[in-house]
Amino acid sequence: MSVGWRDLGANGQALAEAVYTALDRTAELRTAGGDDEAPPSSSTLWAWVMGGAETRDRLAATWRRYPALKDDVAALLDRAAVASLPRVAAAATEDAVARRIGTGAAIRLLPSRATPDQTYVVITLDDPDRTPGQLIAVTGDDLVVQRLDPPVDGTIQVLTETASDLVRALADAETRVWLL
Amino acid sequence: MTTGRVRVVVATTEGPAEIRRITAEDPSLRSVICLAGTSQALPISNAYDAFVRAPTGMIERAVGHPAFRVDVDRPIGDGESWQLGLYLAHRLKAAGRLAEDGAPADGVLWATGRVDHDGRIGSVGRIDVKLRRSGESWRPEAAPVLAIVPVADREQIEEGAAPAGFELLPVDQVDMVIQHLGLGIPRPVRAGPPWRFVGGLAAAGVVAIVLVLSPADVGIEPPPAVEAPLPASTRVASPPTAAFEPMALRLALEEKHAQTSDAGCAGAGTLAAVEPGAETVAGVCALRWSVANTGAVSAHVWLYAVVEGAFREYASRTRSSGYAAGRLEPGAVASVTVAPPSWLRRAATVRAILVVAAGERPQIDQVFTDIDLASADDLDRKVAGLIDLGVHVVDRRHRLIPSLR
Amino acid sequence: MVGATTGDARRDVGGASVGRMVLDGGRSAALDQAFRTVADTDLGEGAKYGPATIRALAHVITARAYGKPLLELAHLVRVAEAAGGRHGWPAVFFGVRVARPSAFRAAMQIGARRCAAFDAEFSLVEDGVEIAYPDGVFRVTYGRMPFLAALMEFLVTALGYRAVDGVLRQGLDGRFAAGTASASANALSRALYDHLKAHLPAAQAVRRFRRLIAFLAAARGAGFGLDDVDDQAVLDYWAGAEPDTAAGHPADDGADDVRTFRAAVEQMARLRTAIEAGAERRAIDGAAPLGSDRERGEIDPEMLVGVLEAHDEAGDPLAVLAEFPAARVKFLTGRETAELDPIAALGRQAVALPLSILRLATFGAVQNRLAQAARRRAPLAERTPLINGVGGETYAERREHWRALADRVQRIAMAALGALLEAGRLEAATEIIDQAPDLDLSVLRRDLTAQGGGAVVALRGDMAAGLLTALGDRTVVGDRAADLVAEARGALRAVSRSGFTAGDRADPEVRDGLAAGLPVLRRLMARFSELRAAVDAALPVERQDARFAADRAVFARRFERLYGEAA
Repeated sequence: MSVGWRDLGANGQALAEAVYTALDRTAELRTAGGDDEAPPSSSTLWAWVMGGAETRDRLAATWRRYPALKDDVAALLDRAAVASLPRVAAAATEDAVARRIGTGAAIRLLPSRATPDQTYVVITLDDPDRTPGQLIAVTGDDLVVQRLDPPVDGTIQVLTETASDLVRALADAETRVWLL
Repeated sequence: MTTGRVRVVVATTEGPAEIRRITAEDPSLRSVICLAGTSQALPISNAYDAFVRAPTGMIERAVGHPAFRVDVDRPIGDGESWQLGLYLAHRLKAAGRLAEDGAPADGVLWATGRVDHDGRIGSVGRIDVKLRRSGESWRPEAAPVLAIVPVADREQIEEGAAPAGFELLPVDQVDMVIQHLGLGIPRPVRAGPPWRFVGGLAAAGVVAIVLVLSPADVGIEPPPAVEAPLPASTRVASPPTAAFEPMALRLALEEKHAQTSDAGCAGAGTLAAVEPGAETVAGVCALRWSVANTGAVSAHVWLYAVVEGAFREYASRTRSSGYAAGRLEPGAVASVTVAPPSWLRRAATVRAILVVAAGERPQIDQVFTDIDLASADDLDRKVAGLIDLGVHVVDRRHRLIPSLR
Repeated sequence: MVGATTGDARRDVGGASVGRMVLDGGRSAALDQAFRTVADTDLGEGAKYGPATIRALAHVITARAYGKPLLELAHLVRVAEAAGGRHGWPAVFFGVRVARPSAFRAAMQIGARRCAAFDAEFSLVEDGVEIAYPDGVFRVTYGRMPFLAALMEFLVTALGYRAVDGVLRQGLDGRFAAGTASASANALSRALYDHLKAHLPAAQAVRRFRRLIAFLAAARGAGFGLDDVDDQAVLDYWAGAEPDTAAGHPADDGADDVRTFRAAVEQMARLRTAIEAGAERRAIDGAAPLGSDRERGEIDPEMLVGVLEAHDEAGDPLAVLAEFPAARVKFLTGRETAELDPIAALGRQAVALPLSILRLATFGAVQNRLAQAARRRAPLAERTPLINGVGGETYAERREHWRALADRVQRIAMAALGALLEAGRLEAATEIIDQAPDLDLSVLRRDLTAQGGGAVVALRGDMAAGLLTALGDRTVVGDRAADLVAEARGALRAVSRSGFTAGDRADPEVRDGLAAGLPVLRRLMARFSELRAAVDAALPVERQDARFAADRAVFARRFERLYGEAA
């Protein structure tokens, strides 16, 4: 025998309405789509943060494309990093930054005497047993990833062009840096 | 090839790699080998750094500076056969005779060989391949090319393997080549001013400074004259006249320990020679840095030592440092002693800077006038400036663990 | 304070805005996008969250039944923070690459080995982890962790990592007590409530529901019942929906919700489910003792989510076939998947609305082509033949097509069974027994009991081969099972789709895929078979041409209004 709508009573009808709307909304959520790719999830960001060279471009692209995710990416980097170096204090920002000190590491920029348009990036780790494999520097819309060789005596040295994205980022007081 | 500029190439199985330039870099950096002016550091850079930096490295001991950048025109792969070429290039560079950046050369040195801590040249193998490869792909600008190979590998070289214009020189000690090149032979220089010393530039009593002009000093034997007699070689030219040789000025270090654990550092203490930079036991009361002139002619030295470390921010007015400067005659020893504050209970680093020149140099005096006010970065810059002056600079650090009482 | 730390109940990752939400008629693009972000998560090993997990997440969100799950989550975070080592809870929640119970079990076991707290505060138990608070013990099972991880993913996507971590951090830094987790869960619940208040408006769905009820009351009388929500109602509702009037009730913008026949079918199917659920509650209320404090109209979110779990099975079979490990096997082609999609999506309501499914398969396909033509502004001359049904399938053709599809997929299922038999997988035995439930297994039972030492509790691996051999032996299990086995082996030789070739079958992942996918495929085909039987009952063959002609006229009129000259 068919169930009559009026027979449901107020509670039954209210539940029917709630079930309908929930089913309707569930279907919408599950079929939610669009032409654009959905922003990466936190798991995806975490995988990229923890990943190696193959994920650098995707992390950098996400940083540019989804401004609202910057804070999440930074927070995940904080969580994952062996060392993190904050923005440089305003009082010290008149010139390009040559030294940054953070939690777990310090970074110096030293111009090469041999080739002035090249610069040494010298990373000194507080704990030589924690060996980062990459450096991530973010400033504005730029996210720079630099692969790091294993440290020697707690120090990692990178020689690169002074005009490189890496040196420009590290010399910028607004840049935040993580070693992972 | 005892005079004039010399081009150095490192023999590899892919062809000769020319050393285009050697540049002294900031002492805090690690040495690198780069490809032809680019920022591409070759994978052997770490091994090269170990070859440079004392106490294990040869180069710092030989030329007194711990960090260099070398530019080569071709990659140098794994292995250690590059050591001899790099060592000789550094010695030529220190003597102002390395032909760099394509400058005209009076001779060409082609080298392959390992170099051990005592200057012995070890076997590397595949020399015939390196020779053949050089003959195929390389046209040296000057002839003859002096090809330095390990004695141990001489048997590998078949008759006629060396390209035309190559003159083979099998050697088993770097000093044989040094002598062949006319390096390391002292020459007379004019006398410098008498010794002077400056003690505790900003100190408040914890610094002990000793300037000794005699080898006899409180029971410590002077460092031995370790310049080994040059081995005989059929190719060695007759010895030139004596000249100032910076390497004859040897820096040595002794640790002063409490005589008994109960006495602490207040007592007389005992002194023991140690290798700078080496791990040593706890209970150090003071460090004495000495420079001994083991050469045949007098030299000017500037010796500064300071205790570094975070405690300096706390105890900025009780800086522990010592400084001595002046002319050092052959056989004489000068030293400074520094002690950490008595209340320091954790490890500290003592940094010593030794500058050696043939004669008086007011510019160097100037560098040291305010050195006690210098931060660690300032010290780095001062050292860099001294190197730029072209003098022999030794910049060493030693970690001490003070008495725990 | 969560409110202060989130500060952004309208967090907008992809550029959608509240304004956009209003333009879309109440559907929040930001929420849709957040959900897609979770559902699309793929760390290189297939979808991180399976369809069942995503479905459960959708239920919890839409029913706002997240109170209890958030409490579980707060407890689990405490364990994960310890198990995650230096990286803390993200290492467990985000680091697991595919959210399966086994993956969380492994993560916890690894974490336990390096964390001393697992000897004191936490312990690994058979089915999960247990937290021994001073004021009580709390257990989270491994089976629950994939869902909780998806919920965490959604929370972080919707509210932001710092906001969520900030709340959780207070709990983690707080006293080690069960009550601390409750405080964290409550704070998260408030933050999520605020977020959903802005992003989960029910107004449009409620409007749709009331529109359907009004239509049925108007069409079938105020005393309409579940049986009135039938194929004719679907067709009438779709055919009559107009922006100006819809079955006599005032104009609203809801007509756009039923432009497609599929939308009308889905809405009616949902209404059927809703009425069934209401009837169940009525029955419970009727049995409730006097003095029950149940308020009129009050909906308990936990009860609602229970109803959703029980009634909403939509879409799962095809999603399961599309995910690892079943995806390693091409059970269905793209076209077959598309043809079975309405049946899979509507679940048991498809059987209740058989003619609607038939219409959807014929005229729905035409409507898709018309919609595409309209989108690319094709000339009327191109659209008119479609409007009039030229080139479309007839019901007779569709039914014949369905018969062929069922045969084809049945052969695939048999081939999969053959492959499982070949691989010596015990799932093959389960399949055979499921397909021939009346098998006489007494002889087999006697043999196995002898091998198993007197008690067949579970089949040991070394028994599998013997069992499978026995199932193919007429003398042991009779002709039916033996025929099934022979048919399966024959089908395997005739199928060359990916996953069925000899080379593919050697791959253990493919074997897992066969084992995982075959039962799902068989259930789907059983539903398909029910549907075809329902169509046969509702539309005898002798009447199908007349019915088709009549329906074509209805569809042509509606298509003309939607896509014709007047449109």
